[in-house]
Amino acid sequence: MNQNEQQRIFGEWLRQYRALLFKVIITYTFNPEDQNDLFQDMCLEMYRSIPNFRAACAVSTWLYRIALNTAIKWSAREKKHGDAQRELATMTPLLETGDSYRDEKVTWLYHTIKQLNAIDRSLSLLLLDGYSYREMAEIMGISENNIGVRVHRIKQQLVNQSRQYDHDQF
Amino acid sequence: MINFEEIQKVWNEQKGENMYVIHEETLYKSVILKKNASTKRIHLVETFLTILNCCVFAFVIILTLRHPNIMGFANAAVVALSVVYIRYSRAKRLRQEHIFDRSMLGELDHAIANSNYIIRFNYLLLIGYILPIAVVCVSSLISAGASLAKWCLITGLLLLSVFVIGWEQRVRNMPAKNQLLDLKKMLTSA
Repeated sequence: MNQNEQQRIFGEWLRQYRALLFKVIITYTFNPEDQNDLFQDMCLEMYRSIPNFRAACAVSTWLYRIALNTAIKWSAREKKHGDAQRELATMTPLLETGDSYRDEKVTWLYHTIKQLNAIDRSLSLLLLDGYSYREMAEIMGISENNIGVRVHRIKQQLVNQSRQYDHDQF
Repeated sequence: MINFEEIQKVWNEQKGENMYVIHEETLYKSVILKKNASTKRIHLVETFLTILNCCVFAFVIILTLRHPNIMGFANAAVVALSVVYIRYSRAKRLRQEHIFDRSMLGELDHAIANSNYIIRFNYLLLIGYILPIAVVCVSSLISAGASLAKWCLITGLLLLSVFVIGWEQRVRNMPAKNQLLDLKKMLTSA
């Protein structure tokens, strides 16, 4: 695959599946600098993965896998690579908050998901986006039973947290 | 209290694609820059150590052939083995880098393996380079009857390099590995 073709697919995926990437970014970051940093890492992994994509699964599943794996490793890292960081710091920010990220209920939901541990955060995204237990088990690399136990716990946590939120909003 | 289905509705109503505005041109530049930077650093270290070890091997073997002795051949063999180890580790690392369809557990295992690789690499640096250099330096200082100032300078530099390697292991490498192990534990325990 030549670089132009890779760049074309990258742009196409970015336009079509950016919402998916944004969901993972919001769930794993707490400030704009981190959002930019994680977004760069995700895009890099996404770009590198293009020649390996074989359409054995949906593009969204493939990208979810890449985005979550990148986020989980990013969250485990204490210090980022220094080499490119200095040059990148002088660049224009890659992301700017758009107009629609203002919904109070959605903000509450993200805030609640962020309070879960790093692994359950990934699962809650997959759960809310409608992935089956089997798909979640494949993406996470753990058994369906394990997924079932965790999903039950996550649902309970989200519902319990909603008690503290103004019920009238729903 | 609301139920999960209502939470699901809230989630489905969000218009995710407008959460952020992407600066595509800057993004593409940064992706290429980051791609090059992350591979360049480890590639440089591996290439430098390979060339250095080849030079050391050539030097030791020439000296040993002039005055054959078992220790000389043993030293040459150790250096040659370290070159083989560096190239083998590099090939293994590169093979692993291009796998993208790993599960999260697989990805964490890979990241832990990479952490172990860096930690082992640092120990190799300590035992394979700093220690032999220290032995050679100390024996030279003894045979030359060096002054106290020279002793202090050489010992200070050696201790500093040991401290820097130890500091990197303690402050950067081990915590990173432990965090990955914690995540793995978190993932595998229900």
